[in-house]
Order: sequence, then structure tokens, then C-alpha cells
Amino acid sequence: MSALAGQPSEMAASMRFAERIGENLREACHGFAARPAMRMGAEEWSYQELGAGVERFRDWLLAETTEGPILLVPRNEPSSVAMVFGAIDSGRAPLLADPAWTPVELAEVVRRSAARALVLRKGSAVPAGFVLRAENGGYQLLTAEAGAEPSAVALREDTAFGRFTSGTTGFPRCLQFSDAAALAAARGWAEAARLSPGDRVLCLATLNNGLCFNTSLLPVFLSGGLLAFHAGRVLPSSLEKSLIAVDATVFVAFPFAYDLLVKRPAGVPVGPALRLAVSLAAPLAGSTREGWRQATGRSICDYYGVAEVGPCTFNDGSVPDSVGRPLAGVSFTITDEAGLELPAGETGLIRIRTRSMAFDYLDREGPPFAANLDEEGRYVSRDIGMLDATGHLVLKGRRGRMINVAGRKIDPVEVEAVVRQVPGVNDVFVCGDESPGRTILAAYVESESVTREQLVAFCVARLAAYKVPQDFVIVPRLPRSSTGKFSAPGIRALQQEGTTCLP
Amino acid sequence: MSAVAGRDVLLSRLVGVLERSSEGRVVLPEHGSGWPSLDALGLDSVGMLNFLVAVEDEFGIEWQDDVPPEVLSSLPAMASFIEAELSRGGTR
Repeated sequence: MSALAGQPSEMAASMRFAERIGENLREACHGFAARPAMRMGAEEWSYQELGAGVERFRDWLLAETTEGPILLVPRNEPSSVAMVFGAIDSGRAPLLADPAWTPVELAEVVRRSAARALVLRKGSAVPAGFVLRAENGGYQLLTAEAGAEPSAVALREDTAFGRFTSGTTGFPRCLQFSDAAALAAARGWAEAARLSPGDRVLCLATLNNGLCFNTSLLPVFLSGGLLAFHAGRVLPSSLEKSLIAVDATVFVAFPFAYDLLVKRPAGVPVGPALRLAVSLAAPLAGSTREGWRQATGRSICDYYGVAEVGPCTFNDGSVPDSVGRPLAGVSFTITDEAGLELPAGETGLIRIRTRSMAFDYLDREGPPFAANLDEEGRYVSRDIGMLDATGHLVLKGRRGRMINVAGRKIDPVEVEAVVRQVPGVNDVFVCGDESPGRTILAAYVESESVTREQLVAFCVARLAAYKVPQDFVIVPRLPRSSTGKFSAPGIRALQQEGTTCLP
Repeated sequence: MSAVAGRDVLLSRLVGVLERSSEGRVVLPEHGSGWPSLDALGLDSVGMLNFLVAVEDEFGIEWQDDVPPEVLSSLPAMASFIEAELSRGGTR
């Protein structure tokens, strides 16, 4: 397939980067031709059809836009995969948005990342102030009525796409990735997971999420496997049907999906073909882990990846409580706070070197990306861990306030900023409360008048559903220390008292 | 029992299921001004999932992918749907 022949000169210009995602995908689509590439329910795309779909969307974006980046809101469906790779191949640098974001959040992300256009599935809620410019199949391209804002940060020439991190600055930040980084991540995972053309990978993670991007998109296509999406809601009954219909060899999901499946009265509905079950390294209930092992004879493989650096380990389940050994091209150093390297068996800060690291943020509304790196160029994670004598990594905790709810990382600062805008709210503290089986996002609200209904209504309109606190504890005065900061013991005492809602 | 009374009983059971599945986090307001939509209750996706699974367990039904979205948008709509399903004697 020589899809680049005759394309606009900018396409030819972009070829000077030696290894492109588009080239690799074209090669796979040519080589695996009639083999099935994607399936969702009764819909199936061959590799040839995937290649044609990528070209179609690429050409559409080249015709309808003049520059990137473009904020793209993909769904878990074959046409969105073609859209993502078409946008990457167009050189317009798609930024992959979370489909759960509200129109208010999308508009703000467009502003902060200086995206020149927004691509949505038809029928999606359109942010205020955006107008329709073009349509292609089920997608629409919109631009801000007031025109695009000038970029605060220039898009790097070698930026292939952007993914968002929940950040620690009160709003998602866009990370710029190169083709080489994405290909290194894909190859590292494909090699460790031994993906082959015989694999059928059922992925529940959304396309914008690193778990999906790094385990189930390029790795599967470069290996000639089949990527399957679950059609419909993630309910135990329909999930069971998908698992059986796909006869998955690899299952990629968040912890709650495993929780649901092990509770099925008829047992875990997986066939004998299943050889690998991957879960985000979020807290997974011990009973779920054990229930899965007993039902399938296999352990759940914890995925440990960091938004800024990509996938880090592969876990074959041989070392209990470990997230596995580093992927090819990944190395860890465990240090104390001062950066002094610690020997195997000692717990400290995890510093990571990978070939799949992002190279910059696409905004300047927080610390620069370089602030994440030490003097040797290693990414200084917020995770605390230990390497054992065999090189297996064991996670021990996390610095900072980031909250992991069902596999999604939530920045409490972002949620607090929204809750503080509710009339009648003096202040708020957001944290994760441990509940049996899962972490609950809780907001401790200082107010003498606000009600839970008012708080929920305000948050639902401005925050993605997963960022809306499930617990609102409303008190006239939040406990504070003598310096005016929230008092941790006082907040803990409120947590133990349980939910207190004003009428 | 009249159809209206039967639906009210279902609605009351649904409220109980919702409050139990959310472990008491969601307490419905007095509904003199009408039932809030489920979206307005602020359940996150896991909370919604827990609720739908609890409804399956409570009523012996099974949600299918073709359930109209409006059925899952409010408790009265869900109660009407469940009532129709139960009266048909089938599972969804």
C-alpha cells in the first residue's frame, strides 16, 4: 500500500522523521490484509478496511484543516480507531480527549491546549461557542466561533499525538508524544505479552487511556491480532456475552469489571483461550484476585504505567504483590528523597527511564515537563516502591494527593476548584475515602446553607461523572490547624463519622 | 393490586435498591417537585453500575444492550419498564 504517493507536500515533509506510526500501521494493514483487525458486536473490520479508514480520515482532516493540534473525542469503536490513526497520519497532532468530559471541560481543554478544531461523534453534546465546519460519516469537525486562541506553547514538529494526564494543577494537562515513543511502548508491550496474529484482545479501557493505547491499539495491530470492543453498557450480563462471543485470549479492563465478573452466579465467563487478563494497577480486592485465579487458573496481570512515560512493567504473576518486571527499554532506580540510589529490597521513590516518555506538555499552566526529570533525565514518579532481588517491582504507596477511583486518577484540586464555586460554599477538601471494595471520592464541604442536591447539580454540569464526589460531608466549619490548613486528624474524624448531609 | 399501586411498590423498591447500592450516599430528596433524573443524582459510573446490578438481583431481570436510554434515565421510567417486563414473565 503506497498511500503516501501523491499526498500533499506536508505529508512528504513529515516523512523525514525516520519511523512513523503511519508507516508501521500501513505495513501491518498491507501484510495482514484480509485478517480481522477490529470487531464490535457484528461489525468487523479487516486490516485492509482499517488501512482504508485511516486514509479516509487522514485525507478529510488534511482537506478541512490547515494546522494542528485537533482535540479528538474518540469512542470505543472501530471508526474512532481509524479516526485516531488517520489524524496521527495527517500530522495534525490529535489530542485524545476523555469521552466522559462534559462540554464545559472540552471547551476549557480546547482553550488551554490551543486546539485549532474539535472532532466529535455526531449526536455528542457540543460545547457552547463552537460551530460546525464539516462532517464525515458519523463525525463532525467544529471550531470555536471566536476563532482559535494563539498557542501558549508551540506544538513540537515531531509531536504525533497528545494524551492527557490528570495532573496536579487543577486541570488535565496534555502530554506531547512522538511517533518513536508510541512505537517503543507498543513494541515493548507486544513483546512482553507475546502478542501474535492469533490473539483476540477484548479491551474495555477507553481509547484515550494509556492502558488501552499502550496495550491494545498499536501493540495488537503491529502483531496482526484482533482488537475487540464491548458493544453496549458494561454490565455483567452483556460483558459475559462479549467475552464468550469474542473468545478473548487477552482481556484488558479496570478493576470494577473483574469485581463484576467474579460475582457472576454461573462463574467467571471466560473460555479456555483466555491466557492473559490485564488490570490497571489500581486497588483490586483480594477476593476478586483470588476468585479470578480460582476460576481461570491464572492470575490477573497488573498493568503499571505512568501517563508521562508509558507502560513500565509486565507482570506474569510469579511474584505475589508485584507489578512485574520492567518492559524492554524500561529501567527503574529506587532512591531516597535526596536522590541517593537504594539497594534491592529497600523502599523509596521510583525513578523511571523509558523510550516511550512524553517530551513536553502542551500548556504552560503548571510546572514544565522538565521539572519531572532528574539531572540524569529520569522521570521522577510520585510512586513509592521497592525492587526485589529478581528485579520485580512492588508498589508501596504514592506521594501527593492524587486519588485513584476505579482506575481513574483524579486530581482533587480540580474538583475542589469546582465545588468552591457553588454559592454558599466557604471551602472544601476532596479526598478518597476507603469503602469496602473500592475508593469513594469524598468532598468535605464547609457551608452553613448548601445542600447535597445543589452540590451534585453544580458538579454534574461541570465535571465528568467520575469526578463528581459520591460522598458530600457538609459541616459549618472544617477542622483546621493553627496555621489555617486543613487538619488531617480532624478530617479523618469526619470520615469516621460518615456522611452528614444538611437537609 | 391496581397497576398504579403495583408501579408505586416497584418504585419504592427501586428507591431502596438505590439507597442500599450507594451505601446510603444517595438519599433522594422529597419528591414533591418530581423525581430527579438519575444523572442529577451524581452517581459515578461505578455507582450506576452497582445500582443496575442490584436492580437485576432485586427483580430477577437482566439488562440488555437494547434497553432504551430513557428507561435508565429516571426511577419512574425504570419502574414502568420493570413492571412491563415482569408482567410478560420474561427476563431482559
